[in-house]
Amino acid sequence: MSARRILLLVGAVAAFSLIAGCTSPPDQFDRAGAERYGLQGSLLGDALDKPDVVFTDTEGRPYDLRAETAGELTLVFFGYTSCPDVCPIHLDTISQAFNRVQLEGGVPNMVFVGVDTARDTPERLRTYLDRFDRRFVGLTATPEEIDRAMAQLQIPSAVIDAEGAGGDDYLVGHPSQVVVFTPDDKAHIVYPFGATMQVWVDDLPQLERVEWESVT
Amino acid sequence: MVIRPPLGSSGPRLVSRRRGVGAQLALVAVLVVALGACGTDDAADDDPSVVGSGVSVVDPVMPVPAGATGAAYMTIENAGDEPDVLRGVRTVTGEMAMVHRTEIAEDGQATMRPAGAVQVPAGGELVLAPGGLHLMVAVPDGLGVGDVVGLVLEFEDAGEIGIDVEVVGPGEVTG
Repeated sequence: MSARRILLLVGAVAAFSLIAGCTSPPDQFDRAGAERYGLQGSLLGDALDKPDVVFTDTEGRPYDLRAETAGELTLVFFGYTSCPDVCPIHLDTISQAFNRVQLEGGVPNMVFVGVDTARDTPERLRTYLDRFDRRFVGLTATPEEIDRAMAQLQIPSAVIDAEGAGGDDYLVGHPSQVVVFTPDDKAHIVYPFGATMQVWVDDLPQLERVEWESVT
Repeated sequence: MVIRPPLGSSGPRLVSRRRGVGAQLALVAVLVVALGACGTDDAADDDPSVVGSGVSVVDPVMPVPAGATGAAYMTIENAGDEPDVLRGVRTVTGEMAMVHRTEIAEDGQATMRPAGAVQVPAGGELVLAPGGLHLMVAVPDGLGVGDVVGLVLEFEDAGEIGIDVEVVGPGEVTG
């Protein structure tokens, strides 16, 4: 199956999903605003700090997000390892983009927080992420701390749906956007599901050096 | 022409074929219309060798699963004059499989739900692609690129159609 066709399908489906899901643009996302910076993501209304949560990484060690990624371009995504549809697409797309750009600051941090804490253990996170890119950081924490991090980023909390198909096959709702922290350690922009590899290849160099206007 | 996959094809009424890039790009236009308007009078294909009801499955693939479940994507075409309905899916081995739909809300929240019965419009198609409809399938550990997952799609009129879903590299669906 040709890559181009799938790419067009993803774009068409993503566009349809967005159009079908709203009658007016959501207030949180300002796409036109991003264009003036030469970026294709969705500008946030407020510039947000990194959550002050201390997570646990895939080696079982404490991981202070702010300290570990200070001054570095950092992508953060909240997903879960049993997610068949959205998460693998983002992770693979971003990995491919990382391999295609040369950035002054080196490879950006890609941080995946497993919101399905019952199943997303450090070991399982590592196995899962390694299928995409060994450079990716996998994090876990208590459900309360993960919720706190998501609240600080003003994104919807994870929803664990116990119905599903029963037993281990429950479903998880989670934010589908990737939150980008530029080297100023603030999140000004997110990238929704449907962001293609080319979007990342185009935007990562600009994200590394963009000068954000102050919000008055 | 109906082209049977070279390896691993077995089971009743396996109908799938692969298309050239030009036809694929044309199909994109059709799929956008099909998604939005639920139907078009233009026959997607008047291939006389399509079986009986006119329903066929094109390019079933599953990106190699990284977890306990995999997502199968494909295009279901209906060359007939009557709409058909996809009622469900099962695996040939008895593992869990369901037709699911990812929904992304205004605030970005993604949830997956059972899709229920989904119509395949007459003379149109139903696309299962990332971020939308897909078949969620419980998969065994160690499934790798090149493996095949046998599924049976259950249609209201066309009945059961067996398909061999090829496991592909994750990059094949992300471009």
